[in-house]
Amino acid sequence: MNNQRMRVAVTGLGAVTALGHSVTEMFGRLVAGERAFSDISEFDVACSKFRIAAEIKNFRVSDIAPIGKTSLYSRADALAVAAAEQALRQSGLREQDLFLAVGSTSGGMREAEPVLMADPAQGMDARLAQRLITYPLFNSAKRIAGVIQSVRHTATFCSACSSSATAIVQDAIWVATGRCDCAIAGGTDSLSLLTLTGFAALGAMSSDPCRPFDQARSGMSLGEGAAFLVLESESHALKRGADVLAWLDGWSLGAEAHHITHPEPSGVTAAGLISAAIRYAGLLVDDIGYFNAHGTGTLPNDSMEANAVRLAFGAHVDQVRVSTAKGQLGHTLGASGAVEAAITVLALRERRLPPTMGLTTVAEDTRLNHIMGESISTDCRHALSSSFGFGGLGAVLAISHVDTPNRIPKPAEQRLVITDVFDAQPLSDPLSELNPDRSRRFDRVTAQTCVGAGQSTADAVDCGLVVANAYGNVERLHGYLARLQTKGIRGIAPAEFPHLIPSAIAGITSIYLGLTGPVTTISEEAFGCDTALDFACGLVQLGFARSMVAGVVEARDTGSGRVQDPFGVFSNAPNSPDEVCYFFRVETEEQARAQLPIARILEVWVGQGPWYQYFLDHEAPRQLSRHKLLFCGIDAAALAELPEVGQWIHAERIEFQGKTANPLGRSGAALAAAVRFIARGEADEVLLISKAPTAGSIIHLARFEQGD
Amino acid sequence: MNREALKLEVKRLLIAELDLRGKTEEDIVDDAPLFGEGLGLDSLDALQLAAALEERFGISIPEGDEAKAVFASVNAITTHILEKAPEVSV
Repeated sequence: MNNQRMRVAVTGLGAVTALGHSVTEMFGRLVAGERAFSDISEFDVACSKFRIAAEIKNFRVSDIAPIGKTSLYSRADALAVAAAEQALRQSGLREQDLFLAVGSTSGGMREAEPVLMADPAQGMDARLAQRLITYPLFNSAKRIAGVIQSVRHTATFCSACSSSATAIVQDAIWVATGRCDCAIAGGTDSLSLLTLTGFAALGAMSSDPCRPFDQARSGMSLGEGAAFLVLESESHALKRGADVLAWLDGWSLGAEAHHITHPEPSGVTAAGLISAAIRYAGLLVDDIGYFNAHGTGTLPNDSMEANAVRLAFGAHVDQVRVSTAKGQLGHTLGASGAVEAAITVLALRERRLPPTMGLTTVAEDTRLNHIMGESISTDCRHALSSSFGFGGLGAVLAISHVDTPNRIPKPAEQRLVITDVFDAQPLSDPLSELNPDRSRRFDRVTAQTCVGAGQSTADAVDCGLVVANAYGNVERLHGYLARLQTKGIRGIAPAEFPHLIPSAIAGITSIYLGLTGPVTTISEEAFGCDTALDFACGLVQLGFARSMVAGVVEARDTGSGRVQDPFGVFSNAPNSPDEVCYFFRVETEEQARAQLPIARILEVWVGQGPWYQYFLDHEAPRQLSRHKLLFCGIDAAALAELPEVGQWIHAERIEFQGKTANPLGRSGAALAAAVRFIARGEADEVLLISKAPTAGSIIHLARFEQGD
Repeated sequence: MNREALKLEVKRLLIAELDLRGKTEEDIVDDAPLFGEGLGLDSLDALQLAAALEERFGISIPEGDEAKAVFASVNAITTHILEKAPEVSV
């Protein structure tokens, strides 16, 4: 037993999709072969060329939101809350602390669209402006934490169509590294004009319900929905006698560094991710009996994915049954990874594999052992679920039947170090630093990310990237939607659309810099840099990446000022906040050998208080002579209530007086200051505590000494 | 309609719509291939260019291989515009 890593149990599932308001209903209708496409009727899509989708009927935000709070919920938020509550109910967990990770591509876009389509110069009706409140991607996590009050920490991921698979990976890492016993992860997206018109402009939409892997396939069909999984450590689940639905034994994340909208045709990167997920689960290719494909129905995706499956499974490819749910419940974008993970769990548990509906004649380039026409019974024990998003951001999850032994190899103990820091003043014209032919249409945030992350990644192609950016590019979104409003579908710019999903910041940077490790954008209100660093450290610590660059970028954008303060009532909500750009490269000590590390990372912790008090009382500084305690208040109120210093009584206490007043970048600035103390030899050890009124982070750094 | 003036207009549209920073009209050779090797443009640029030409000149761009011929060079685009919309003004 000691040679195996602790297993991650799936103990709860929840979903709301066009195939039903519960996972049970969804799975029943899936295996029955139902297709949920219909004319869109829940909102006005007159300006869209495509008007069919897998739309959820009879679902109202007001059924989910508490009385009087409906305006604080987008449709995507309400779907997320409904699905997360279902999952928690099934798990039987009540008061236990939970960590929450959410994936989404467009969050409250649908509600923000009428505001962003209007001309701000014409004045803004206050009730309309209010709809921007639910725009930020992190709003769904906030709403879930508002309803499920045992949530202690949230993180929101945007890696395009692999967003919720990335969120599931973060949850699994938290559980597998012992950060928490119980976690909940999933994703949500509602239909919106942006996605309907954007994918259409790219020629990626089918005019009829989509036909994944078919000879006559002509594009995707959109769906909407949310799905959540409760993940729990094996010991915790067994101790409380929980009903384990399946094991999440392996996962992999990686990027193609190829093109923002087109996957690499050979599928070689995707094949690598499939193999890696199998390997991390301690399995062999012939253990896998079912492959739940991404299968969007577009020509490039399905062809790439079939190539990837053939490459990864080799001679065993005919033993793997393949299907996708997108021909029945559409492409739910940021939710699809979680929806399909839930389907895969149920397929193993119910011993029944759903078919690919819409597939009648397999195309020459997509030949695999497809499940066509109707569902089949199965005795397969291990399955994979894949997600491949714009920018080449892919994720594969390996899920095992509950009656299977743990074969997961225990990862080697890794000690983490910081080997590079970018903390220069953001450039006034970051685009001028980039190759003009390769940086066409880049916006400020993306260009600054290329400059900041590029410094640290010049020598590492298999490096990954986690970028925190709170709101995406709202100005650019406004430009796209205003043109759609005034000129209609013919007025929109196809090449703009991929830049309007926040994942583009990390995705485009990974292409520019050639990064093939795990790549994602994170959307957070205050602790983006810490949350990014936490994810990066977990990936490196468990051996899923050798080298990661994590940081925060915020650029001038009057649009994000409007999102932060839709009514213009807060004088301190900046129309033009300070720009910030901080990046930190994290590696294993072994990987870093060629380069002298700047500092050792002893702890990274983000969440709700008062955890820091426990840390201060119990974790004494090591036997080094000089240590500093650096306090960073995200705002003045947070700094006013500094904690007791416990074991750190002898440390020099410093209040961070950073240059940036931008709360979105302040903890990143403080971390750069902490690293500088160590780099300049001014401290042997630094404990950085960043605090906002309800949450905070701890980052514990020490001087690097060979062999210590 | 003056062919030379139209060519210049097509080049300006290419630079603006495809964000060819640092390039001027003189840098784009009338007969040079636009996609692949030439300016390094890709399929996403083709979609963007088609949408921009349709909006600016009110013409439609064919799909598939026919589009490839139209997008072969600035000269080819100009010829296509003149065929489809001889009265177009710049």
